[in-house]
Amino acid sequence: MTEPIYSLDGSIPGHGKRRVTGTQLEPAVAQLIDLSERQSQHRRKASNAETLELPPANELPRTIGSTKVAPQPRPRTAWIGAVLLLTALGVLAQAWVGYQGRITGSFSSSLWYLSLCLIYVPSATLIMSRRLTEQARIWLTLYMSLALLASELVLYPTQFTYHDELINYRVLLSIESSGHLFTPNSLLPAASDYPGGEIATSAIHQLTGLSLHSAGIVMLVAVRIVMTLALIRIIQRIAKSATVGCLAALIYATNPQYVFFNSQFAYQSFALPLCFFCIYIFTLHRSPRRLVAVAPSAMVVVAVAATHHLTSLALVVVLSIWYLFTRITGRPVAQLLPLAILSMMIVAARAWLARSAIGPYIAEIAHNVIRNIVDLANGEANHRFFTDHAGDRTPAWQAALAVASVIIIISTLLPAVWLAIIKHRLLNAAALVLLTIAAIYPMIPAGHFTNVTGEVSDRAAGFVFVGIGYLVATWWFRDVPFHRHARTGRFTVARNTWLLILGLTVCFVGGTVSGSGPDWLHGPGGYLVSADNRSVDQLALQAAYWEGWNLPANSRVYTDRINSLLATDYGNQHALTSIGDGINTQSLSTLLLSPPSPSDVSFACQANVEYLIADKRLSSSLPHVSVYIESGEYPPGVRTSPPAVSALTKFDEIGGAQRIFDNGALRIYDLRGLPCAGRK
Amino acid sequence: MRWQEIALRLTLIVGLSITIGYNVNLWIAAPLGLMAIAATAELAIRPYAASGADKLLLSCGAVATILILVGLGLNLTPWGLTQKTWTITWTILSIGVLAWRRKLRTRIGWPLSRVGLISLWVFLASLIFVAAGMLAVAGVRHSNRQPTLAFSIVSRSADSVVVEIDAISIVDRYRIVATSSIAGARKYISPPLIVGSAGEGNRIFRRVPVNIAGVWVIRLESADNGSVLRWLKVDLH
Repeated sequence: MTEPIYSLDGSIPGHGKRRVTGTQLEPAVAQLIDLSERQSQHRRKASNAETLELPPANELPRTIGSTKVAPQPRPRTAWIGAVLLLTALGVLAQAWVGYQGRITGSFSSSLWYLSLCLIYVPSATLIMSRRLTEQARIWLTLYMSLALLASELVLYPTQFTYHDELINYRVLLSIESSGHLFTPNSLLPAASDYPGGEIATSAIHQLTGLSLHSAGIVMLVAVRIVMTLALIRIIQRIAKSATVGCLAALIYATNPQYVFFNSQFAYQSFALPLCFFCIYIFTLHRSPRRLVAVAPSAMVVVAVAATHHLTSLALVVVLSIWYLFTRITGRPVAQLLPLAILSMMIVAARAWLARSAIGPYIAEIAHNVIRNIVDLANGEANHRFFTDHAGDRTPAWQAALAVASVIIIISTLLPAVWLAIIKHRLLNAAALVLLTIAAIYPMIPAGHFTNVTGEVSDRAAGFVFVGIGYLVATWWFRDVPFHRHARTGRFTVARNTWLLILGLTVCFVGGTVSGSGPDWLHGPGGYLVSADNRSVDQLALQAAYWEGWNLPANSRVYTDRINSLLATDYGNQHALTSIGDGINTQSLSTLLLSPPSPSDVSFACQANVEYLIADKRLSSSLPHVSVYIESGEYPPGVRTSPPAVSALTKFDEIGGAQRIFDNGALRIYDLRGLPCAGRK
Repeated sequence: MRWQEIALRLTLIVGLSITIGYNVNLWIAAPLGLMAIAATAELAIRPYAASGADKLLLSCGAVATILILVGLGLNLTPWGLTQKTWTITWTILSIGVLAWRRKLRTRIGWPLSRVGLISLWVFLASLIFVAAGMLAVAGVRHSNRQPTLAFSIVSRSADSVVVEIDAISIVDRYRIVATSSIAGARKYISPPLIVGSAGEGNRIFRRVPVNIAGVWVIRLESADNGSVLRWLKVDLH
């Protein structure tokens, strides 16, 4: 089956104004007609505002006879079958790793990485081989990306357990209980102002009867499909090759956020694919002369703006830069300016409506980033590479692969960027946008010098790797605009598929190491202190469910980071946080973390704490995610030892406090009877 | 569009509403609902899609986008985002798409008519995925059977406190002891309670009588050796 030939303006045979009857002619002839049309179209470009830019005629692929027009190979079913099975076995191995983690209490990271490779490597090898048609390549890339998603879902198949997932799950529960959006969320107020993903999940839940968790999985699968295929199609349109698109998707899968963070039920997981989708359908419009052609894209922009603040902002930036480059190159793209302006207005309007939530959120991030950078500059940073806050070290082989992945990416990016800069006249505006995005890659590894900047820069990877994917893939295949460098030279390396697969594998594993955090974060196992998924165990859940059954809804509870999430989601309580309630974390955290003091009662009274949930296990180790409760907690400075048990159980001895729940690990105190001044 | 196709599509649309309205079994409702959504989306985007991959991409993206936009719209109505409003809106939307795309025709056939060798591999891979899912759920069930014993106060009045014992995977004998340091307080010792929960949770509620207002400590002790396993503190006014 012949893949439709896309032009840079997004029209395809049979759908655009150039109805080349490619399906009725021999593919080679159709390709040549298309080539001549592109040349003539390029000559008209100055006067034709509808087209995107095209490379000059003398720069069009010389290799067209060998790489573009060659008859498509017949798919080798046996190879495809073997890869389908191997990939599925990789998912099964992941399920086994998760199962063993639950049975034995220890999670085998080596096996986890091995099974990830079982999913990625055979698929990548076959996709990059010459054994497949372009259609088969696209489907196999999609299959691989869905298998990678499944590999995460089988680790926690029945509920959301990660920090961001639980925050977004709260938003979903609020929609279900109230029937309305934008209900306050004390855990992260900004999350409830961007409920796009939760709206769609709620709809699937209501229309199919699936549980909220299952509906969430359905939506995650849907947006993963969108992300993978939109990425392939966008790159395909720019590079004019589905193979380049598939390699870009394989490179994109090596980004630090791909395996782990983008598989979570979190708002960025929904927004990023919709962002790609917006660009994709913008290039689909059939009557670009009419302003109404931007309506579908504008609708997607609204959806993105309702889903995630920073992603929608990034979309506006990309559209604006794209427009800027069309001005610089003198090759206008029809309706790009209206879309960019419309997007800016939509995103600005949404941000203005949510300003009370996102203002403090962004300000806090900015404050922490600046503080981390200042600490680093002053030599006071306590960040240690490949070591979590409780002192758990990442194995040396993983650290080595993470470093190797950075080296490989930079060493391929440098010649590709250099070549692109030299040949910038051959690049169209869209390619220049991707070049610009790719060029900021060094920010990602550099961000890892401090904790907060590492988190921020990793989030940017979702965008940066689109640029890297395009640039490295076109550079590797010497495709448009590097087709004149078909021979190995200063800026290119020998095209050896095994070298490519080896590099991709190292980048895939290394990227996952640097983006998915320490080993314990990857899957189930024994309880760990303040360790997101690993702190959500039976005991914590038992307490949370009990709160839901027995405490008045939305009571003001104060507890540690993980039990806050569980109390809010499963206990239907209002967990007090600094960002949601403006409490003074340093003083209030003494209720759990400092030895008994006369100020305990007054602090609890000032914040009007009704229930205190104390997890005695916090005294067993330092927190794995830097804090027990939240940033700014007691004591100021660097904590070197965990709190004493007596700090967590001190309300046993305080008059007016009642101990109303005890399961050995967690105790819940009713503080409504404390002798607060002014309280009856 | 032929009348058979219209009838089939209408059946899907109405079927979705009925399964939701009558709380039909999940194993019927979920596939039917997903199929109805997919059929509407595919029909809406068909003229823009040149290949199967494009169809899938446009369908998924359009569904996600439309659901978000409809949800934002429903939020402005007094009824909000409920099962009824979603069902009614989706039904109207589906019928609208059907009317909009009435000139399109679909070749409807059984998927089995296009079975090839690749389908066998897909089927085998699907079996492995199902096995992975079952293994993952088995692991969760194992986790859910970890032994836990919770002791808590459920309600209180002037003369009694209702306590709850929530035990998972524990088989043992306990007793409840309530004491107070207030003069005149009468100690309460319950008869032995047998908690037996091999796997599933076992919740036992007991009323603990108290004879005087003030602070009481209620302990859950082993009936065999008297060791205190859990304790609570309650202040009765």
